[in-house]
Amino acid sequence: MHLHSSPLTVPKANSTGIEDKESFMMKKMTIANALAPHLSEDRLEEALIIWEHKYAHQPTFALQRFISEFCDNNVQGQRSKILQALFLALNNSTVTQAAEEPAPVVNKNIEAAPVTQGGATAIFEQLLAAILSGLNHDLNQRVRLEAQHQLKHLKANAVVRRDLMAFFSQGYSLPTSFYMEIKTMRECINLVYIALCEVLGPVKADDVLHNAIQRIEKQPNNRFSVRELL
Amino acid sequence: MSIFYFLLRATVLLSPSYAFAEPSIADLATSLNTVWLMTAAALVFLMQAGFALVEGGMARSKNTVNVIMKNYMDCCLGGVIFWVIGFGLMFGANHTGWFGTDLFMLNDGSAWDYSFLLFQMMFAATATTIVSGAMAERARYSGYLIGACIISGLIYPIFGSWAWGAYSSGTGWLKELGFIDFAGSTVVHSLGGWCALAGIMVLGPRLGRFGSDGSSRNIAGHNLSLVALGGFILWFGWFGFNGGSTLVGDASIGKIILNTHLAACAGAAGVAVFSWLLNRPILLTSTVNGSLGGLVAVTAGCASMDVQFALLTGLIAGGVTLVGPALLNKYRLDDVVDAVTVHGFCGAWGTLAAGLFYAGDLFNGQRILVQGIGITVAFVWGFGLSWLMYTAIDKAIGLRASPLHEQRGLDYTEHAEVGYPEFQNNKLFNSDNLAARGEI
Repeated sequence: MHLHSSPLTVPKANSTGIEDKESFMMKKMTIANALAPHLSEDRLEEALIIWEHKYAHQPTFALQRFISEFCDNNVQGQRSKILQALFLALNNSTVTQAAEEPAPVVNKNIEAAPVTQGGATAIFEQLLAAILSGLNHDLNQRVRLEAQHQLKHLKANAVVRRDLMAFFSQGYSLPTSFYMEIKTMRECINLVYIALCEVLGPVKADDVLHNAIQRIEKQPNNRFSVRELL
Repeated sequence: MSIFYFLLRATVLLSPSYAFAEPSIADLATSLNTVWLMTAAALVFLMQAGFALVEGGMARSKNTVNVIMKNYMDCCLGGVIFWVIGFGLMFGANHTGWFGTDLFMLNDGSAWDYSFLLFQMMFAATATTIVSGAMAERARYSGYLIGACIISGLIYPIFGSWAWGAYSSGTGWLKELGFIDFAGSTVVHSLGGWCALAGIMVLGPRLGRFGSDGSSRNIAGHNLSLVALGGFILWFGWFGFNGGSTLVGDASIGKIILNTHLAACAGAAGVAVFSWLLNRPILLTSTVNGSLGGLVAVTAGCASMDVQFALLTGLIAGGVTLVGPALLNKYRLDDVVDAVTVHGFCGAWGTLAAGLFYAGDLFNGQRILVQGIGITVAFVWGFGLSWLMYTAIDKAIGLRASPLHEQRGLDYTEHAEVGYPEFQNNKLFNSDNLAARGEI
């Protein structure tokens, strides 16, 4: 994680990088979803950090070692269940991905390329940053605090929640591995809007959100429409 | 005067009996009464437009269509429900004193029955639509309409049968006690106000309406011109509301309408005076509400008060419209148009004033006691039943719009259209694909 250099700056990646990032995020989501029923939030977080650092680029059979590493006495009895769930989930994910893979297109027009998740995440982060940067220091802090409070209501996994909490509490950028469905992004923006309403009142909240949207829309080369997040 | 005379002549000339014989005095009286009552009904109907303008203007632009739609449908659904069940419950034969038992779906009545039904139907719509403004900007359309139907068909007519019943035979128990409410300060307005109070308690305030420190935040309406125009239209319609409640076109109408007008003037003046005394700015919204408060208050006693007391009633009502919202804010109750104050509080004050200032018998303790009973019973019945009703609706289908819908505005999320498409510039929602996403 790194601190914001500017409110609207997020790590940029080239098109191949974005594809890799998407694949990584999908895999991470799949693992998080498979492990979630078996682990507490803290343990899940820990497990994902281990996976990200050591096993993200290892073949599937290495998952056995991954599970051995984080399974302590509390979940030892469930080890085979967890492994089974993990294999099943990754297998399904591969099948789904293959089915959804578009047929190769000759002379593919870059402009007409479908919107990518990476583009959505970038705009999502830029919008959050633009909302916060439209406030003075005191209000900024209060909105951040209120947003953290509101995030309790977000239906997202522990990792996403942790990343968002870090964003609002520490000012960290969202990590490159950050993945959230667009629907959940909308819910998150709405929770931030609620935080704005609580701190500033609804009239100013509307203005702040509107100004933030306009700032994003004025940026050149947006690969994703910010209005999709509203 | 000449138009009225022309209408009367036309009615008489076109009536079948005229072809055979000179109309009797009774025929002429019936014709006159019918023409007057239908004119008054049309004026009361126009009040719906006034409510729509006041409430639409006081809401933010992203919720204008929604609140106007609620007004519109109150009148439509409320009218049908009142014909089906409400009129019978309110004015049917009432031998127990508690509710009417006939005249449901009236279809075989006399000419006068239909006139009376139509006039009363407009009153029912008025009582129902009071709620929409208070609950604006965060109530779901479906839940709200279910509530409106129950108010029109049950809550309003049953209380009405106690105070005004019956039309055919029997008497309501409050009427029997000597309760005075000439045109409905309590029966129509307070009752609507108490229903609104229950509604806003169940709904909760709009997002951010109150700060975490308990401070109250003003959420300005989007168009004060509409509010002022709505105020004028309501005022105009009130001449039919009070004047028509005589049910006959006789000489008493003049004083009733004069009392009505002066109370409205005094209500607005009261706001100016009290604002000045309290060192507050004199707001347009407060001024309009002051005049409406005066109108509501004088409605109970406009036929039984001397002119100076009508004026005093209106003046005090103006003060009430300033104090009421502060009281509600203290308890974190969010009433978008101050309907609880204007209709509930001012209606209660006006009903009491009708007992206090009864012409020729001022400050009669017995009468004041009866008025107090009527006011209290209206509160217990209206508030209690509405609270249960809105709580049940909330549990069953949800009364409160989601925060996401509040962000986007209920115009688009509930009706898929906006009030000002050329100006709103898709402020806080994406109009292109909400429908495709299945989110409206």
